[in-house]
Amino acid sequence: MAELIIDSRDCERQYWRDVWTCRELLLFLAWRDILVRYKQTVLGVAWVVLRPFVTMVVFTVVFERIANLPGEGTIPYTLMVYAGVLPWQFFSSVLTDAGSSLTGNAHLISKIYFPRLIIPAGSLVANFVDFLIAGGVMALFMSWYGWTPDWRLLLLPLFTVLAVCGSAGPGLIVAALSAKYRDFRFVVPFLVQFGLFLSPVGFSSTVIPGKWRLLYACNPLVGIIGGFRWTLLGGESQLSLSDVAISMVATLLLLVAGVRCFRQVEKTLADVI
Amino acid sequence: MSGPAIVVENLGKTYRLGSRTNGYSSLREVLSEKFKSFGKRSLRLAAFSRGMHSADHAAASQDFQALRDVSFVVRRGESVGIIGRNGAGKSTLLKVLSRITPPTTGRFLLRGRLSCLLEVGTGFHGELTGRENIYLNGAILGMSRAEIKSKFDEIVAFAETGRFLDTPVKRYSSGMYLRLAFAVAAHLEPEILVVDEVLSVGDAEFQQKCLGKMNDVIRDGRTILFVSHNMAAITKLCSRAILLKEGQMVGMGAVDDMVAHYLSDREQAASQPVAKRTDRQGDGRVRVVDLRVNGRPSVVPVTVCCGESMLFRLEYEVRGPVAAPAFAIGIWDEMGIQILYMNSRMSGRTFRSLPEAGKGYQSVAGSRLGTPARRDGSPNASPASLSCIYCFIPRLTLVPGRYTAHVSVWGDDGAIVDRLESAVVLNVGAGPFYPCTDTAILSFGKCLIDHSWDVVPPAELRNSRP
Repeated sequence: MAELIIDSRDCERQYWRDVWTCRELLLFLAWRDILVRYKQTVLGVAWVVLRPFVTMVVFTVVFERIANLPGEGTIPYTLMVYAGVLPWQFFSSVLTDAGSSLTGNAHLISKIYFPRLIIPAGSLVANFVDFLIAGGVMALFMSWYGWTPDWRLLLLPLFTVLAVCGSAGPGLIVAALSAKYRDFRFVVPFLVQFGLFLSPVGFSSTVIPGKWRLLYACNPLVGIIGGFRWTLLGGESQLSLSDVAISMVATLLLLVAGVRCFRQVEKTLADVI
Repeated sequence: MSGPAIVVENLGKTYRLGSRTNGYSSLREVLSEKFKSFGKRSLRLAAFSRGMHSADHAAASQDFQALRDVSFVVRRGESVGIIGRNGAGKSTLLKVLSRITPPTTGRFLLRGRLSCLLEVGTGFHGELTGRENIYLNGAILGMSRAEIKSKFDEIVAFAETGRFLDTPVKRYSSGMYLRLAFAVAAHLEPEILVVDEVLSVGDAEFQQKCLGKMNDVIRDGRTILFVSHNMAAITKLCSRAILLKEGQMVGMGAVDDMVAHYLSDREQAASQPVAKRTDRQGDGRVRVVDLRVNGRPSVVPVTVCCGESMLFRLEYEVRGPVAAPAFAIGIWDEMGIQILYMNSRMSGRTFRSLPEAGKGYQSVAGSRLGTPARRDGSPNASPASLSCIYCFIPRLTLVPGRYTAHVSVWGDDGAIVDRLESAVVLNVGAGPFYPCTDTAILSFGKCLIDHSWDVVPPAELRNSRP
């Protein structure tokens, strides 16, 4: 029979084993989030497609037509924008949902035990499903433009993993902090709004002057978005290896910081929330 | 028959009280606190602000020991009740054992899967259908998908909601909702089951179902920890009990002994003057400081007779503003079941907001958020104003027996302002309610009612009903 010892001096040992035991719960919570999200909406799941699509149209108009920013070689500007919107939309929804996930599930947290990490992780999984659907739309666009990806597409999973980790880190930090300080309810939309213009979503990162490039790359999304464009749209999109390397390091640091920050807050979560 | 299922050693839980009384802090609060302490260290601010700070810090660093040094062993297959007054630490103990909150000191061992029912329907989502909620709730309670699948039909049959399986539960009646929620919980098969009394919501039939199910669980030889104020249920279900008082274990033993101990302890509490009692709940903006029944003080059991009139006189002091306060008295029988509840709002009477004009109170430093900073009457505590309120019962309908009365004060937002359990012990004797004064016959029921017996229908109904 399973034996469990909980000691006030060492509550950690059991934690990661519990996360593993609760993997089904994680999927259930993600499934709930997906089911509930579009209930009582007229357009329903169409929103998953509509949001990145509208963003793409607006950005193309604003950045290409009005601001006259250069694209990347012969790649249609629309495709370039969409390849950027794909990871950006994922990142921003993870950040937004993670912030509200703990407070939204406060009734669960104060009544039942499971590793709290499951909650933001569940909302990340739910957003990942949206990301996959939006990715399918990307495939449709590419065939519409008659654009066939080459061998670089094989590296897409790598950048997808990078996007997931890069969103999970900041997501966990935001989740932990908004559970403790409700101020982050206001901070997060702000961050997302700024981030949109700080990341090369509507434009190519080649428009950044050379001497700022290294500093610019510290935003992990620069490497991730660059990677998406490079793998999906082929050789004419320049991938800067230093961008990717910096992005990987930043992602890793953020992830470690995120988990540590979350674990710290989690201990007293049931008493605080 | 076999080894222990739960071993608890020196378990303790300390909560930090202070500025975070409303559950969460704002960043501004934290930043300003940091800034203040920084300023204080480097600049040694003037005396007036130091005075304020020391009050702040006293409040912030106040630790509350909800559990202290609790140790016990529960054998496998045993059903153990946890009893104690409000604030004795029962719920904290359950929360620590079910791992919702980590212990501050000590450790415990659990042998087997533990499921915890602090309420039914945890994680139910109104937008989801009954079917979806069964899966979700099952997963939250710790069942695997395969497990839920195999028990699905059983759960639906138990809940008797088969027809509405694909209706969102927000359209369910509250009874249906409760039945479905309980059905899922009832089909958990943990080795150790922890139940809080919040289960005892719902109608009598539902409660019967709950208790029946718990009986089944006990018969299956599984281990149960059961918290309740209902001594009758505890005695019926449990073989042993743990008595907690102010976070500490008074003892663990045969359920009858512990219940008796608890009841005498409750009465003992009433022998303390109301003003001196510290085991209260509420934010303390108004405090009941004296209670008299028919003019007699509450420190000795008051004898009253059924059928006679009864007058409660509550004297209270006002320490903070309360809009439209409501006063309430609950009368509980010896088994911990509430028999009567009298609330001024129920009787249609509203009172003016406190403090009343002319009877001022002074706000005490540090009493923001309505938390009384000083209850000990230190020099700058305000000269709180005293007032009285009366509750009159023209004809007492209680059956002869021993009761305790709880008094409480409520704010208009439903916040508990002050609540005191067992403020007075009442001995109800046989009296002139009926012509008969035989205590044995009178005590068959739980309360008395005006009635008459005749061989013909009563005069006023004779015309309408043949």
